[in-house]
Amino acid sequence: MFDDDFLDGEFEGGVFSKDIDGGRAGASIRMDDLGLIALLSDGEQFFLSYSECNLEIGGASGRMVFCRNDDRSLTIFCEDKKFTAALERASGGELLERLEEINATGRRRSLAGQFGFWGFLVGCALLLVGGWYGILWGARAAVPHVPFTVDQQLGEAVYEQALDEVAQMTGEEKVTLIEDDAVRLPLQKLVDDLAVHSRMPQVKFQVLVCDTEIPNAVALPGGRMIVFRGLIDLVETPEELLAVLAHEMSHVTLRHHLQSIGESIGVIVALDILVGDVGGLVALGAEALRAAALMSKSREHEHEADLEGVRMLHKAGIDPAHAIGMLESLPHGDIPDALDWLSSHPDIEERVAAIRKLVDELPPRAYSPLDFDLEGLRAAMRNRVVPAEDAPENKDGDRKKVNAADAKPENEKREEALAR
Amino acid sequence: MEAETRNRPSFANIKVDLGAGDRIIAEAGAMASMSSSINVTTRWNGGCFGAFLRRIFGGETLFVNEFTTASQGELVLTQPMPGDIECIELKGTTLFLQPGAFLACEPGVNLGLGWAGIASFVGGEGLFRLKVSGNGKIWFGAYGGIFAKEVEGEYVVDTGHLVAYEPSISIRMGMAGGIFSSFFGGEGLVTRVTGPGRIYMQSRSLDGLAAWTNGQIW
Repeated sequence: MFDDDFLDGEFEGGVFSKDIDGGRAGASIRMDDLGLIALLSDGEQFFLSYSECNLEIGGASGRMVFCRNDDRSLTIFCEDKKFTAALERASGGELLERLEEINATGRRRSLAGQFGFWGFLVGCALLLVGGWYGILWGARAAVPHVPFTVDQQLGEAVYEQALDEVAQMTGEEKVTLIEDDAVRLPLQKLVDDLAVHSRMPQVKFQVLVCDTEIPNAVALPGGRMIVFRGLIDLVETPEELLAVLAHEMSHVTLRHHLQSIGESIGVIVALDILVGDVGGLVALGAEALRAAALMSKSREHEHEADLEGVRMLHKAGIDPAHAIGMLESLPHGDIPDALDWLSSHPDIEERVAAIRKLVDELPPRAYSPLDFDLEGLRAAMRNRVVPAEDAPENKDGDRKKVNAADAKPENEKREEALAR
Repeated sequence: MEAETRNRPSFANIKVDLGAGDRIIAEAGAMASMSSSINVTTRWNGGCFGAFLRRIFGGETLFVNEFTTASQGELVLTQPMPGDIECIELKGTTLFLQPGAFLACEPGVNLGLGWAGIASFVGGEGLFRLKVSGNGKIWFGAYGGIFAKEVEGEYVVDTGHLVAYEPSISIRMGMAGGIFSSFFGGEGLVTRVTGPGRIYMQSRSLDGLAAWTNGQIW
C-alpha cells in the first residue's frame, strides 16, 4: 500500500534535459504510482517511469540522487534526505535493491562529511585557543627584550590622554594638578623609598597629585603615577595608602602596559592573517592599543600587581596585611564607577585570598609602622595655595591666590564642616 | 535593468543601466564608476557573523554594496584581477563558486556558504565554497578567460583552474598520474570532477602566476 502523503509529497530538485533552454532547470518533484514527475517553474513537466529509472548517487554533497533514463537524455535529481525513502515506497519495491545500495553509500559519505566537518570545528577551536594563548605567551616573552625607554616614550605619548580620561571620570573640563610641594614631595618620597624594593629599582617614578574627589590612583607606562586626592582622603592609615601605590607601581615594573599592547598587536596581526584587508578593524585595533596603553586591566595583570605589591611591602618591612585590610575595609560594593581602580578589578574575595596565601608563604620578619604623616598631608592639601587662575573671582571680578579650603564653594565647605 | 559585459576577455567589466527601482548587489570595491543619481547602501555580507565566515572561508568581502536609483543611471562594476566575467541566470538552481569569484548578483539570488570538505582543502580549493541559489542573474569573475564544459562521467581539472560548478558535480582530489609523474611532471594534485553537470574553468591560475613570479624573483 502506498502512503498518499508520500505520493502527494513534493521535493525540491532539478532536471537535466536537452528540451530545456540551457539544458537544466530547478523543479518540484512528485511521485505517482508509475514514476517521477518534475514540474518546472514555467509549467513544463517531465516524466520518468520507475521501470526505466536508473539510480546514481553523487553531486557536490555526495548525497544527491540522480534518476536517469536509459539513454541518459533525461535526468531528474534531488538532494532531499527524505527523497530515497519516498521513492522506495512510491516505486513499490521496484527500485529497492538499488536504493539500498544508494542509502548505504549516502550514509557512508554523510558520516565521512560529518567527521570532516566536526574535525574542522574542533581544529578551529584548538587553533583559536592555542592562538590566543600563543599571543599572550608571545607578548610576555617579547616584553623583557624591549628597552624600558619604550615604556617611558609610551607614557609620555599617553600622558595628556590619561589626564583627559581622568577629567572625563569627574565630568570636569580639565584636571587640576596639585603642584604644591607640601603635598607632592611627601608622596614622592614615599614612592621613592618603596621603589628601591621593586623588581626594577632603576625606574624613576614621578608622582602627580590631582585635585579629584574620586579615590583612585593610575600608573602610566614609564613610571608616571597620578594619585587622586580622594584616595588620600579615604585611606585610614599611611600603610593602606602605600599598599595602593605599591599595586600601581607594580603595573609599571611588571610592564603590564607593554604586555597589553603586545597582546593587542598579536590580535590585530591574527585578524589580518585570517580576515585579510580590514581597514576598519585596524582602526579599532589602534583604539584598543591606546586604551591598553592607558589602563591594563586584565585579571592576570591585576593579580600579578597585587602579589608584586605585597612582595614590595614585605621587602620594605611594611606589614603586607595592610593590602588585605585596604581591600576588605573599602565599601567597594556601594561605590559607583568612582572607585575605578577597584570596581574594574577582579573579584575582591579572590584577590584577598590570593594575597593572604602569599602573605602566609612569605618568610617571617618583623614589620614596623610606616613613618608618614598622613594627617599632615591632608592638612597641606586643605591649606595649599591655589594658583590665581584656579581661584574663584571676587565681587570685582578679579582673582587672587587663596587657600584651597577658601577656594571651595560654600556648599562644599559646609559639607566638610558637618563631616568633621 | 540592462547589463553588458564589456572588454572581454582580458579586462572584462560590467556596464549596468539601472532604471527606477532597479537594484543590484555587488561585492565591496567592485564599483569602478557610476552616475551621481545612483545610491549606494553598504551592509554586512549576510549578517556580521556570516560575513566573517564568508570572508575567512569563502574569500569574499566583509561587506556588500547595494546600488539603487530613483530615476536611472549607469554603473560599471569590475574585478581586481585581469580576466573574464561570466553571467549566469539562476532559475531556481544553485551554483557553487570558488573563493573570491563572486562579483555581483540580482536581489533574488541568495548567497550562502557550503562545506567543501577536507579533500578540497588539501587540494588547495578551500574548505568552503560560496553557494549561490534562487532566481536571478549572477556575475562571477576569473583570472584569464572563462570556459564552460558539460561533464558526463569523470573529467580532470588542474587545481586552481576550477571557478564554478553545479551542485550535481561531485569533486574529489587526486594525483594527476602516478607518484613520479604527479610530482616531477609538474601537475601535482588535480581535481577530478564527475557529472552530470556543468563546470566553469579559468584559463589561467593565480597560483601558477605566483609560482612563476617567485621563480623570477629568486
